[in-house]
Amino acid sequence: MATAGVSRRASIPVGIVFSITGSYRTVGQEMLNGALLAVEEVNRDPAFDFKFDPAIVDPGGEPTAYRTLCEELLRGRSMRHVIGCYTSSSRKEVIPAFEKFDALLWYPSHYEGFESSNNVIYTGASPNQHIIPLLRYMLRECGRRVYCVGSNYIWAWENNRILREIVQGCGGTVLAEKYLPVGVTDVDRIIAEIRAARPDFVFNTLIGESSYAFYRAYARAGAEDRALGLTRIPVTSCSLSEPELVSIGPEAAAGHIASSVYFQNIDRPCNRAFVDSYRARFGAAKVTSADAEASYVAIILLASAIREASSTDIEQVKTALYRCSLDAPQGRVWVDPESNHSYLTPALGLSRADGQFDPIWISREPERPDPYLVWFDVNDLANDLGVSGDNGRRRRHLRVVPT
Amino acid sequence: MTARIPNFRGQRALVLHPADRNGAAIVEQLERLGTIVEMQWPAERVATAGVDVVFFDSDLGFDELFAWEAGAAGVPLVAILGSEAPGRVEWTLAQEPSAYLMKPIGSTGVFSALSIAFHNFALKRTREEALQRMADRLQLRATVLRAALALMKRHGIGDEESLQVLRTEAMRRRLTLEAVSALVLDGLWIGPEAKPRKSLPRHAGKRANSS
Repeated sequence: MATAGVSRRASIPVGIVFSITGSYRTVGQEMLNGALLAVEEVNRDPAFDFKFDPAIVDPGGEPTAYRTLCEELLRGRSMRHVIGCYTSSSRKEVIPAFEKFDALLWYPSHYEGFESSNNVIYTGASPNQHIIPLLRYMLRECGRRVYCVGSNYIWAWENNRILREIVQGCGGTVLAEKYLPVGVTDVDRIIAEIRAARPDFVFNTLIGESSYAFYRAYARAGAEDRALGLTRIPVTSCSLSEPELVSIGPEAAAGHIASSVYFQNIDRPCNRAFVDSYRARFGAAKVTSADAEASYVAIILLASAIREASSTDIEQVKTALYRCSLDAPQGRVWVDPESNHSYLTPALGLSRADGQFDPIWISREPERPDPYLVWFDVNDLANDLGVSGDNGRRRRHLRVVPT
Repeated sequence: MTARIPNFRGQRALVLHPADRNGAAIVEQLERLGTIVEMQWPAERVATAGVDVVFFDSDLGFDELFAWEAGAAGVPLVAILGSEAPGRVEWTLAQEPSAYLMKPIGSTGVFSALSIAFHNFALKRTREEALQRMADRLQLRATVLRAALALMKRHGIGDEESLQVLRTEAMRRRLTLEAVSALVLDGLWIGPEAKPRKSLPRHAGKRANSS
């Protein structure tokens, strides 16, 4: 099918490392789809004088397989650019290989932050772009008594730690912090505790099947106990996405609040085009998600930076990348040279039974990434909410909200 | 306890390290964390005025590098270790750093080194102060003993009662036991005016009734 013009284009190998088997295969598949869509777009676009030659591998959700496969791509096939990883453990596992072989990992997932590698470009949200907007909204609109439930690993621990500092700093209370082992779906005791505790809202950092089981059980409990039903005690999340709403099922999908830099329902021309081509490529019934979008954005940014640099050398590509700015489906996206994280547009969505979110708040402009929360001050948020901004020990004696 | 996310924004970090790749990596990470960084090399008799934390190169460190006695830094020190030669490790240990970083410096390590350094330094300081207080008091035990003996002789009371008199007076004056004892020995306080009264049977009976 190669045309005369295309055949002259140089071929640039790019590694694609997502788990399309294993426990988080749903997300892995979305990320792969987003990356593939972008690779094909670049390869069709005459504005690029090169083509990507993707090498797709599947670590099956095993951290050690990530390391082995990446080393193979970097050493064996001399690749300079790889897009991949979803969990933090897989990312931490492969970073030393990227540093050793002087290559760049394009990492397209939101995560808990507190990292900034010179060999990684982060196109997913950092904590100031997901948990902080969520809490600012919930503490204002809903109340300050929070119940936390999560999967027992770093994503949940670190998010809950940030939440605890913010909630306490604003005069609120964390009623409980409960964890389930990853993959466990026995959620009945936690639902019973939430019914007894009557929090103002629930913060959910469960992942995969545990999370879906939780939403289903919560909906069943809501049928008996009206307070749990449809947003009266809302369940909030920084990772809930459209494909997951499909997995949860229509009976339990509605009424949850998600913080994300992307929703399929965001009404922008660029997003409509993205959704249309995603469906055309992967099936009319498919839904897009933040993970698919971040992967798509990563590949387009990589292509733009290579074009700008006329090189695949990672230092030259990074220098060029810092000058690139992309009209992405979510809005304008660019990379902050200081942290290698991306300027993204935070938003909050309320889920519907049909598996979509209605945006209930969208940031007016892209927000600078702050992976170490250097520029966040809980006192500013407390002041915004009109509670005492005294941070630290004194605050507990100056309780503003009676409990 | 309130969970605090360590935040180093506005802290002033002094990095005593040549401006090579490792030095640059440390400065870069420190700047990402919002600290105000100054890199200095060569350096000699460095003082800590206007500085919150000092990073130093263990490979190049020497006795005159710091203006203070080894182990007596007024701010947390973070050692940047390269060579593991015993002499270098020994010199580094003598500085009593609060945290360590290993070369080569990659893109991680500085955040946790800062967290550990500030934590350990505060702990070290609290312990040293507690130890100093204990040492001071130990030294003054003889003073207390002599004051107690003086009161026993002067008022004809027993040893326990004499110590109780000193304690009560110390509490009343908001002084330490040792300070009140020194007053006694200097003749500035001669004990209670009257001999302390023994508890009266009537009083004891009243107490029994009320219980």
